[in-house]
Amino acid sequence: MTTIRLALLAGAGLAATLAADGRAWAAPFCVTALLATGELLLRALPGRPVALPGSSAAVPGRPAASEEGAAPGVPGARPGFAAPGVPGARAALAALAGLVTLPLVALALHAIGAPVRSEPLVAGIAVTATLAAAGALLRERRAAGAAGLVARRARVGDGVAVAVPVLLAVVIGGVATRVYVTSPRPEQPGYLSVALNGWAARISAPVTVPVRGLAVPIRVTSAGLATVTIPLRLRVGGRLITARPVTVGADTVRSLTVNLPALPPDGCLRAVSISVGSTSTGFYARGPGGRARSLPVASRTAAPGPGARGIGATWTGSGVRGRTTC
Amino acid sequence: MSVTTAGRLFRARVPGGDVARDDLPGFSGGVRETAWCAATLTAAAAAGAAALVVAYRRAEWGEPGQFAFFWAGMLLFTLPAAYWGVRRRTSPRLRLAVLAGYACFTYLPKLLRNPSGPLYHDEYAHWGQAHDILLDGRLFEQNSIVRVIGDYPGLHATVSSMAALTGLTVWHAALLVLITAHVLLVLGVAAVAGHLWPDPRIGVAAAFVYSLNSSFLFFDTQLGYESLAITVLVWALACALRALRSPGRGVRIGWSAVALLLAVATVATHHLTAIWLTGILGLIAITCTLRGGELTGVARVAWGLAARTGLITVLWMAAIAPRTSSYLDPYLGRALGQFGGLAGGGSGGRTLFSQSIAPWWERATAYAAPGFALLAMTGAAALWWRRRRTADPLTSAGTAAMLLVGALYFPATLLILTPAGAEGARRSWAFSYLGIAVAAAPLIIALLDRPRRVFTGSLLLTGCALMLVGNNAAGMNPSYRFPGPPVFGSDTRAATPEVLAAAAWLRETQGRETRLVADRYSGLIFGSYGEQRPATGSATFPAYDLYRAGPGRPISAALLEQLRSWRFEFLVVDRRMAEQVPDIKIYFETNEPIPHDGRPAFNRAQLTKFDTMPWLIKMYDGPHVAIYRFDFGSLGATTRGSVR
Repeated sequence: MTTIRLALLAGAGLAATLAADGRAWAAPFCVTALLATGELLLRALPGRPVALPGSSAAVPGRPAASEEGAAPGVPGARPGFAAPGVPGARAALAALAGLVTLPLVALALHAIGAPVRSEPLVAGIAVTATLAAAGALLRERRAAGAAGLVARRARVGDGVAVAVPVLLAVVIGGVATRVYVTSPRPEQPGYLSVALNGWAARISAPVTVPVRGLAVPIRVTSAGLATVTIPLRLRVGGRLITARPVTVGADTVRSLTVNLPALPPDGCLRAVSISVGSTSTGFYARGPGGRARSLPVASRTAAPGPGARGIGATWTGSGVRGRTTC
Repeated sequence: MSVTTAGRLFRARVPGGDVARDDLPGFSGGVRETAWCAATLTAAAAAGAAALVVAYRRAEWGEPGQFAFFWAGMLLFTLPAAYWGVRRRTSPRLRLAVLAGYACFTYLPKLLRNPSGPLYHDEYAHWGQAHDILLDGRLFEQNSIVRVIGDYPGLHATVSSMAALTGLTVWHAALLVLITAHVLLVLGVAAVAGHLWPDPRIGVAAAFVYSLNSSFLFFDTQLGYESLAITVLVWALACALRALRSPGRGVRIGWSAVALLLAVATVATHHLTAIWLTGILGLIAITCTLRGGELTGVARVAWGLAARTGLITVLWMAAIAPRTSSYLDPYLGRALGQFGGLAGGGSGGRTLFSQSIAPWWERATAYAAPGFALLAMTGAAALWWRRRRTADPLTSAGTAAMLLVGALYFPATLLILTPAGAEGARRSWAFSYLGIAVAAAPLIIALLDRPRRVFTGSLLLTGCALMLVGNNAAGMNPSYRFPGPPVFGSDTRAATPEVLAAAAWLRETQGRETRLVADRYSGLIFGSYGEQRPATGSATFPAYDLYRAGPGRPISAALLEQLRSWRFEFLVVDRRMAEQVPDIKIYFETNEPIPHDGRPAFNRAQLTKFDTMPWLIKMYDGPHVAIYRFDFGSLGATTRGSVR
């Protein structure tokens, strides 16, 4: 393929990649563009592969020559990439050059302060491909007269030699992976968790409980366990305030609201513990007045919202009165 | 002597002058041969893949036979592929097809291990890093799981760019990049050998021998920076050798430019690989210089390449990644110290395969593998010595350099006896094996060309099979190689539904990128799937002292000040630390000051004391994992009761 056509292929691949806008069909266009860019880079730097007489890449009927007219000196080798044991070495190196174009362009974008996103990346690769194509054309013009370019047939043969095993590997690997992924697996250990929810999940300091009390949302999650009925307990300052059974269905996420009664206005900090079975969550709170700090998050949603289902709302709060020393 | 003359000399003095007869174009061995090869290898690959699936399923369900099925599956394909690859009559393109197929097949064990997301310790870090670049579009962001990887964004930039351009997920984009890199690595090793030895069979043999190293199947196939960097290193070497072979100045400069471009990509991707690349180029320059005479011009080019690569590496590490030396130092400095202690009769060494579930025959091959490597290197050195006057000068010098690179494998093997050096030793084998592979490949072909080739071939295939098994047994824990039930303290089995749910809850309710303190295993999940920034502690930031403090005992004011000033928001506590010993004997980090005496290093009171501290709000609790929010404003406050 001529350098101009290769540059056009890279440009078309990049345009299609951009047009695909992240859809599934963008991948082949992107890979094609990168391969073409890699080959352009190789043509710009060491030059185009050429063939020697007698090598597998020689074009019948065309005069043979080497890169810039000098023989590379490896018997039976491709002058473009003298690795006799690997006929597809040039294509492999082009693929690698295309692949490393991505991080190098990303680094360049970072250097100029542009983000690593699809549009700047496409622009960066396009600039790279254009510069490489210009360099390659310049090099080809200087080396005008050097003939014996690698036969297309040879390149196609190398491509087939790689494509067939890769295709077979994709089929075999794909089937194996599919079988493995879809086969039944041992059950994972189940769990039941409890967490502060809603506004309570943003508690970051002791909460001031207003005189009307506080509705504390919690979230109870069960996964991999059977439906269970377990006690939900509210403790304040280490004392049990209320306990009632709550049923947690198998593989469910349940939102509950626990009504915390008013605390004495003594300024004392008390631990508020909400436990479901053996798991517990909690925070620290004090009554109104005293040294209490106001908490924006807590004060904004201190009252239970409409429709909130309260648990423990029957307690009057008398249980924590009486002690005034902290 | 000029470079041009050196190139002509190579043409004139190729050892084994009969090699060219094999280098026939196309699938010239005939359609029947090609079809027979394709049929046998396709059947072998299908049977091998099925055996791998059976092995993993057995491991997952806790049934015996996982190791036997795994190696049966691997060898089912590897042995016939090696036969077809080095067979004298195989055509060049058929060899290329066999190599490509072999490279694809050898990615299958890792693909099956975790087809849908990260699993290994480093994978969590690199996946998270690529994910963050995709989201934020920024390079060089710090990573909380492996602190140095942010300074080496080559892999993450490649994966996230691929994901951004194609719309693939980060994981699928990573698989595309990694599989491509793996195939190119195999072809690259053959290309490096091809630049030294014109016999195509030697290139293929080198690729097969290289694939026996302990990192090839599982480590350099993971989503880690070395997986991409080592491929770039191999091709940078190939280009450098091509530059040394180039007769014309323009072409030589062109190949040197490609080599240096790849060197930049290597340095931007992985620190150790960049150092190895510089070292290998330096060794080539030294051997060319020592050879002198006709290689004087070549040596000058080699020195130029080595010096420029070294300069790029040093500049990167000094200007962009200054933390690299402090990151690498514990792996080498402490290891040498410990090795010195062992040599002096001191204690502190490692017991190999301690509590390993690997079968006896795997362990036996692991001990035998260095012996086979020594045998191969001795034979390769003898062959090099015998051919030193008849071989092309650059081939002779290049092989000498590769013998030196391969020789580094043996001191590294001794370092595995030290706790600090074990990891570094394993990491070095992927590089030193390149030397072994390229140096030993001519020996293999020379042996195969002698009489009684069937017997010799069978012997060599058996040796290769034992090395493949042994190197992998020595280089990778069974928990990394096989699936299984959740195990506390295992990097690969830490992702239990409970920990994943806790990480998801934190992300959903508190957002991304919050700083938290966690143990190693929770940190992996919170730092990747949870998209947070966990810290597990270090000598200068002993976050693990939070857990170590007994109930009622004060926590260091300096540590609290660090946590407060660095805006740490959450503390994750896995109470299993008080019940079990971690599978890999690490709670937080490699050099943690925590006793490892076979008993849990913590008691329950140490881990539940947080329920009584008013400066910790218990946001989340599960059977094992709790999440607390720091409230440094309440430090020193007194309270009644606990949130237990």
